[in-house]
Amino acid sequence: MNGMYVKKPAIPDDVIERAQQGKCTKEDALLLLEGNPFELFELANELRASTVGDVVSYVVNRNIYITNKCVGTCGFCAYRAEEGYILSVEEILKKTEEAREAGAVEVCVQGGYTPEADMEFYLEIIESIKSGFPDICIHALSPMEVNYAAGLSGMSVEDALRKLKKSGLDSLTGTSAEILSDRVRKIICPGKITTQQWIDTVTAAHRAGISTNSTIMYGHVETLEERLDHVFTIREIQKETGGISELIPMSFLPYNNPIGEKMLASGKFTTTGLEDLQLIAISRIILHTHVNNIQATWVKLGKKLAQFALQCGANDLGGTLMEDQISTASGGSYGEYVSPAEFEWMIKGAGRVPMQRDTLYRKVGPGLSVREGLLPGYVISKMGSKE
Amino acid sequence: MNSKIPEDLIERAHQGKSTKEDALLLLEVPPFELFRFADELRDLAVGDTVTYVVNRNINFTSRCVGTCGFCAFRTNNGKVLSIEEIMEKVREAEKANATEVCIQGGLLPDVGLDFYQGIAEAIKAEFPEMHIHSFSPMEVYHASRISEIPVKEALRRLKRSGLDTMPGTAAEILSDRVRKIICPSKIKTAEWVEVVRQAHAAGIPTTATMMYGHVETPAERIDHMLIIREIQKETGGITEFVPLPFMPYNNPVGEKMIREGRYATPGLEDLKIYAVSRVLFHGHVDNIQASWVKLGKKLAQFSLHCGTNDLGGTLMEESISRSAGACHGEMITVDELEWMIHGAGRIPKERTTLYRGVHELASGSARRIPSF
Repeated sequence: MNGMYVKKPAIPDDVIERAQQGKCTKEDALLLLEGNPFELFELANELRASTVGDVVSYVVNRNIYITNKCVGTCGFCAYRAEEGYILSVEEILKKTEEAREAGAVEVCVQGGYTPEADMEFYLEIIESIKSGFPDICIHALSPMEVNYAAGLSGMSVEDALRKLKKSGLDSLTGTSAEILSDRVRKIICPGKITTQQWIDTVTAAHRAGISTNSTIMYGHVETLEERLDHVFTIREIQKETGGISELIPMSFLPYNNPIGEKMLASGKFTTTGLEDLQLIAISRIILHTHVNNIQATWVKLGKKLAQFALQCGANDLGGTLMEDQISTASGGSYGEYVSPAEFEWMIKGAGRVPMQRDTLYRKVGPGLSVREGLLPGYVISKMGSKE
Repeated sequence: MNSKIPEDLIERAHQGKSTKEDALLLLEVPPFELFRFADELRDLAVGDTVTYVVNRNINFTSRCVGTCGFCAFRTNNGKVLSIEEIMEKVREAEKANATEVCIQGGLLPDVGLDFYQGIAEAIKAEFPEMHIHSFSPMEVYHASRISEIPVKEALRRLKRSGLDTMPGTAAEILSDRVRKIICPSKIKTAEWVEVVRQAHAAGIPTTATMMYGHVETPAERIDHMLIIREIQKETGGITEFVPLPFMPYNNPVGEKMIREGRYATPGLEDLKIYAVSRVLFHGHVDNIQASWVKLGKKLAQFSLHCGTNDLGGTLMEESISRSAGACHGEMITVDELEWMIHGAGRIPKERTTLYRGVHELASGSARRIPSF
């Protein structure tokens, strides 16, 4: 889809009714996307208001990339390196310490999948963080990493998840979902787990008492219907387990990676702002009464569009991050850090009420705020000199 | 529709007679109603065509005797490009199919009008077809003072040397209260208005800009737009209006803001400014430009649904916003601009600086294009 719209009469009553009951169909979604975008946004905005009210949340967190080594072959990745690094447990703890000092309540720990990183390695990381920083939420690893490491260590995914839970993993990231369509996965990430394996892993995580979020990486080779099917798949998982905390739509960044280069060569670029907002709005509608939190990620959208997305169904602005090498490698140009004060400015500018949360959307009290840094992107060097 | 927007306000907007009170009220209605109203007026004024220009920015020096507190580009002793160095950039621009060069720089302490005329003449001698969109009202005023000639005469000479149009920059916010705070040594509001009027009288059309989001009030923003509308009523010499959000990084005005917990304007506020400007300028200035350098490509694209109809230039280099913390790149390709425009369901069209060659494609009413 490329955001085209034709003016049509207002949204039919039965479509609105189904949306309110959490029963939006694929036909409904397609119809809504063909209509006037402001009508779509308005419906999404009303549903947002009725579920989560005026509170807009964000999390003070830090991304920690364990390794950029990866045996994967994903054509959309600009981060993977042949001669890469692997952080030691000590280095990860040091980064966590820095994050803690900067007021972070979450560390998001992920990396490539590589023979050096087996379950033992991951379990040691999680246990070390948990024992050193018991009050920090550990949001870590993807379904792909868990599958790969479980295989290396000769255990089932279920066993791996049980052990991770026992080690202190609070939440598994819902990444490596990309587009949950095996047609698409064959093109963009042939070495990755299949749609069914992703679903099974996430479902098993929920059964093991580990919450996950969910993501969709769109704007490459997928069709509009495949995008919608993906969101419906998330809804189905949620109906069964209730373990999904949020959906983060992430627009694909087409720079420095083979899939993107092919796109650019054929005259296709990154998704337009209209299209990004439409996906946020339709996700809010499809997931209504099922997944309450729709995140607008400033790393992909830019701060200004992410702020505006709060009018179109989003209710969360994601994390302060401090480092996001993955988007930067793919041409993300929106910086690597947003201060809590700037989040509050953006949220108040939307007429909403800012709230700091943790990974599981629990309210975090004041007193954890990060000191201002003047320049986004300079934060890593600044972090050492925190008082 | 438009339930929160009074009928009489709508009527005045259609007649090109929106008032300050109308504009302030529009900032308070639900934003989607404002956007849809601005979008309707955009459709009436210019139809579905969305334009862009293939151009190149050339900043010939960062050296400047000015004292503007919002600037992150100025230096005390930056290098000044020679005419040959400028020509090299113009040649590159020409090879990249640019139809316009936009040349601006700092205020040099002892460089008079000859220097500016020299640039224009050199370009016209080698590239008579290249449109020269150059020199701000502040630069022209400054050069005329150094050369001890009236502004009117300076503009006549520049026109003779080949200057086609002038950017309506240095406008910032046209309020002397605001100017005293952010750019105390710049020309005052009345002087800016006078230079622009004189330019139009000399046959040099201009654009008009507004740099907002620092110390000004909403009413001062509206006043700024109304001042520009008055100029347009008198001269018809304004080609487009370009609202530019202030970038608060690496400059004193911005650093003070950030210390107070204020940052760059959020996207919602930017879109409201674009929409309100469409309403206020309806019937007067048909072209409202969204600057992708300031807004980012994604928000600039969405603003096409909120009243804008132009995406500005390909630029090739952009050093001024970048020094103030803009991170949206210095260049965009024609292909990407067309991708964005198609994605908005509109018809892309390359334009000239004067928006010529576009009106035949615009659906709806015929376009009024300033011609001299």
